[in-house]
Formats: sequence, structure tokens, C-alpha cells
Amino acid sequence: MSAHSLERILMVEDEPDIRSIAELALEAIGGFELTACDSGQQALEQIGECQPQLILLDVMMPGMDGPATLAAIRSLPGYATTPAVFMTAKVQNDEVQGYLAQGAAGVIPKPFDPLTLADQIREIWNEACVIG
Amino acid sequence: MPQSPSSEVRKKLETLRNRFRDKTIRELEGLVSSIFSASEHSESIGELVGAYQLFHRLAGSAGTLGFTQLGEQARKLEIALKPLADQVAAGDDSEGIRLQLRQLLTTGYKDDIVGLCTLLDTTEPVSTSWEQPRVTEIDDRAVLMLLEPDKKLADLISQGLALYGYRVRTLSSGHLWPDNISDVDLIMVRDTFLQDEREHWLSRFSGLPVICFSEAHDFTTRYRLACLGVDACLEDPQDIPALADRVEHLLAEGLATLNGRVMIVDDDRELLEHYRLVLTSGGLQVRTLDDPTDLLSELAEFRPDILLMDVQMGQYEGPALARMLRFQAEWLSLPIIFFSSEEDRDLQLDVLARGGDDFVTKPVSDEFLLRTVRIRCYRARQLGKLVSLDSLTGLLKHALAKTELNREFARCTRTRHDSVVAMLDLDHFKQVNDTYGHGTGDMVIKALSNLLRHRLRDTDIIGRYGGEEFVVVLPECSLGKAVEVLEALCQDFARLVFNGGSGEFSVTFSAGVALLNSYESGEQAIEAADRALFERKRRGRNGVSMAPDGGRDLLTAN
Repeated sequence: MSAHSLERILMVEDEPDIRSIAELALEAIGGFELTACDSGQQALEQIGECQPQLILLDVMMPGMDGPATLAAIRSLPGYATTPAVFMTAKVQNDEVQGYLAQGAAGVIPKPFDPLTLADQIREIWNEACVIG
Repeated sequence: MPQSPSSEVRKKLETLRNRFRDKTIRELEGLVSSIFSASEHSESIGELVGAYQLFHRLAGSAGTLGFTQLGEQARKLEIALKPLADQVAAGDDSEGIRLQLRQLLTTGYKDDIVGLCTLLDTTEPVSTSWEQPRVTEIDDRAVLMLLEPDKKLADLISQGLALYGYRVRTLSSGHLWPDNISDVDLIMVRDTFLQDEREHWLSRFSGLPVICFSEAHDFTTRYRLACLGVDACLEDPQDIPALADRVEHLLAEGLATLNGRVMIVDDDRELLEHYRLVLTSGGLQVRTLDDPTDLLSELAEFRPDILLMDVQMGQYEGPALARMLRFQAEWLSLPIIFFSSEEDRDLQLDVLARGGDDFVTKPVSDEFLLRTVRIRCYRARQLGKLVSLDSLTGLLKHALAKTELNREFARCTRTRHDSVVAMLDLDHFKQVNDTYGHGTGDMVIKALSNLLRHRLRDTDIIGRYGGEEFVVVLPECSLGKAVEVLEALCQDFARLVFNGGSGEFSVTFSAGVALLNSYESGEQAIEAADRALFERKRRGRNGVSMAPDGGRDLLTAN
């Protein structure tokens, strides 16, 4: 199992509804420390303060989308291998391949169940630690 | 493991949902008018892009907020609108797109859009739809629904099964069937309730294990019960240990299907990720692998129930890999299923001869994949159990229990936590066999096994050590806690009433416990627990004794 446990998560999601419900799912139910950002730009500003162990990204966002945000984060020092998870409403093969090529540790299909989101994340984290 | 949200969390969920509903109503009004205006004026065609984005957003979010139907409908509308939105984005001729849109609206799309708003009214209340975790919690008490017209018998069954840790909800008629049975794990029903198969509530059985109480033995009746989906038939439900045994088995089968572990090897990462999503969403645990050279280490780490493999992966051939796995005795019984687009039957047979178990022909539909994998996992577990489990009790066999004990010994000495080993023995068991016969004796042994399995944690190790002797290992447990748990079990077991034909009787058991990590080997700990058990027998049975100071002083004395 993983040598260290997952505590800090950075989430980038433009939709306020999903942001609030994910806050609930990850903080109140999952017990994680969550920094929620509404855009890729904001994520880049806050990542230094948050120092996330895992990054959760919505794929489709206006302006900088999920993949573009991840690419920008990857270019920062210290985040080259941080496990990243995409959330997407479209789970289609051709798309998934692109996310994995970017080094995503997993893809969570939307809609997600707020009660099990934390478990899904923890599972991906454990798997990423074993493989990584 | 998912937890039930606290009332505070639930309240917040409710607030979020109301906010979402209010906002979405306004958005949908805007959406309807922009789609209609785009269908009237080609200069407004750009509004389709916004409409498409809204559908996409709703498809992703509505379900999470409890509006599953709205989410699914939005997904449908999103997919239908996508080609048009793409054309708009590509700058195609507006008038051409407008005509396509008009065409689309005449084929029911219009009604679908207008009807979206009504889907905001159709939700289950937060308290039921969000309170139920999707995965069955193993240590949660199972809920059994009982339909028995005889009130006295129903009470007897409820009380008897409560001793085994089950919660029983009783109904005296099928017409009282409640709307919400999402918390029910199993149904017990008297056959008289099943006479009219047009009863509307019969359809609720689907998917749940059903035990029927029936005294009929004729082919016609039994066949009809099987057709209705009954899984087990019992003549005498008053025999609580026998009933509890069936309940236990049926529930365990359901759980095994839920927790199946699958490993998939395929060099197509895209396809691999798709399989992973499909199977994960079906409740299976999945490990994917795109590089066959890691196969052995990954297998040893993940220990799947079944292995799915492509026939050809780059330079590696699936059948050769299967054969290679069979070199190791450990993987001899691992079911291997191949994905193959090859429909040549001869080639498939050839592959089977070389170590595979079956084929799934590509392309495989999501539903077929999930079902096939579930069934395979279930079968694999059943076969695995036959090999390693005691046939009477379903507990670990002597040798395997010892292996598991030694594994825990190594673990607790390494990580310095307390673990307890306990030896259990039925009191005066010879008398039971002599008085009531071996069949009844076996029933008593099974009853204790079921009680142990049901009341101890899923992570505890329970083995049948000898005839009426059991070994239990409680990882990460203090000696005090172990004594407390076992004493409660002693009391509850003594309250079970067995029917021996010539009369009713009860049986007790004695236990001895020792702290596993106080000894130099698992073997020594077992001996100490055995001595404590002997001490208990000498001092009057029906209870628990500790090895002197849990064994710590023995070490210093040596």
C-alpha cells in the first residue's frame, strides 16, 4: 500500500454546483483538504499555497480546459508526476486515450455519486502509488 | 468504504439541490427560446453552441445532484445536437444548419426539450436516494424481509435470526409491500403468497435472493417456484440454524459477485481504460495492464479472481502468456478468458488447449462484458472455496487457517500491533452426537461457524481446526476486546435452540485466547491459547479464559 496517505487535493471545475457538491463529497465525507478553483488560471495561482498531492480536473471548461490546465501544471517545478484525475461527462474511447497520454492516473465519469467520490479518488491514489 | 452522510451533510446536499433546480429552470427556459429562435432565423444559429454546452453540462451534473432522469435525457439531446453544433463551430452555411435543425425538431426533439423542465420534479428525496451507499457494507447488519401469515412463526423466526445479527422486517401480506425496499438484502416468503403470479409486488423480487417456505415436494410446484426466481426452498423454517445457514450462503454469493477482482491485459490503452470504466461502474475491482512483461508481479500483487487477456499484444501472444502462467502452480486454477476478434473455431480451440479457459469475441458490448465477468468471478470464487474451505462449515481448512495465522504473526510482529489468537471448542459435543445423531451434531457445528462468520469482522480469520474445534485470529485487536467479543458470542450461542428430533436442546462453547505477538511463533501462540481453553474447560466451560497475562510473562520466564 501507499507509503503516505492522501490529504491535499486541488480541484479545477468551472461549474459552481459541481464545485460545491464536490467540496461536500471530498471535505465533509472524504475528510480531505480541498482547494477548489473555478478556472485553470486560478489553479495556477493557488497551487503553490495548496501543494496538492493529487489534482482533479474537469475536462470541458471555457478558456483553459482540463488538459491545457494539466499541461501548464506539469511544467511547474515539482508537479511533473503528481497524479491527476479527469472528470468528464463523455467517456468515449478516443477521448480517454488523450487523457491517459497526458499522464492522467484515472478518469471519473460524470455524473459521479457524491457519496462514493472520495472512495474512487482514494482508490486511484492507491493504485497510482503502487504503480508509480 | 462509503459512509452514510450525517444529517448536516444531508441538509447541505438538499440546499445545493434546490439551488440547482431553481437555476436550471431559468436556464432551460432560455434554452428553449434560443433553440426555437435558431430554427426560425439563420442569423441566430450561433445560439446552438450554447445550447449544446448546456446539455453537456447537465448530462454531467444533474445525476450527481439527484436528477438522474434529467441527466440522462440531457445526454440524449446533447448527442443529437452535436453534429449541428460542430457545423456551427466549423462555420458551415447557417441556412443549411437551420434546415437540419427544423428537421430534428419535427422528430420528437421539440417535445423532449420542452419536457426537460418536468424532469426537475421527478427525484427521490435526499434521505433515501443519498443515504444508501451503493456498495453493500459488509459489517452492516443485513436486512431480511419476511412474508409469513402465521404471526407466531414469524415472531419466532425474527427472534431466532436476530441472534445471528440479522434485522428482520415482517409483513403479513404482500399488499402491504412498502414502496422502498432498497435496504432489503434478502426475502423470505411463504409459498401461499406466490400462488397468483400476477401480483404486482412479485416483480420486486428481481435481483434479490429469495427463500421460500414450502412443504410441497411435487415437480409442478417446485418448478413454478424456480421460475418465479426462488433461490432456496425450506420445509421447516422453525429450524433456525438451518434457515440462518441458507441466508448466510445466499448473502455471501451476492457479496462475492459484488467484490469480484478482475485483471485485464491489453496493449490497446484506450480500450483498456474503457473496459476498466465499464467494469468499475459495475462494482468490480479492476486492475489494468498494458505491458505483459509486468504480468507476474502484477498478478502476485493484485490476486484477481479472473484474468482477461487479448490474443495478440504487440510481440506477445496471449496463449503463450497463459501457458507461461501455468508454469506456476499458484496460477494453475486462475480462469483466463481471451478477447478475440477471431471467429475461427479451430484457432480458438487451439488456444484453449494451450491454457486458456474461454473466449469473448470482440467487439464486446458493455453489458455483455460486465455480465460475463461477474458470472466468471462468482464461479471462480465458488471453485476456489471448494478447494480451500471446509465443506461442512465453509470456514478455512486446518492447513490454510495455519498459513493465515502465520501470515498475521509475521505482520503483527513487523508492524508492532496487537493481534489475538483464540481456540474454541464445543462443550460436551460427544453427548450431542450420541444423543441426537451425527446429522444434528453437524448442524450445531454449522450454527457456530455461521455465528462466528457473521459476527466477527470480515478481516478476521476463522478456521475449522478439528472436529468441533475452531481457531480464530483477530488482527489488530486487544486481548480485552477479544474476550469481550467472544464472551458475547458465548452468551448468544447458548441461547440458540436446536431441534434434535427427540427434543430441543442448547449447546455452549469454551474459548481460550492469547496475544499472538507475545510469542516467538504462531505455533507457540496456538499452544498457549489451547492451554487457556483447557483451563476454561476445567473451570466450568461456557466462557473465555486468557493465557496468563496474554503470554507476556511466559516469554520472560523462558
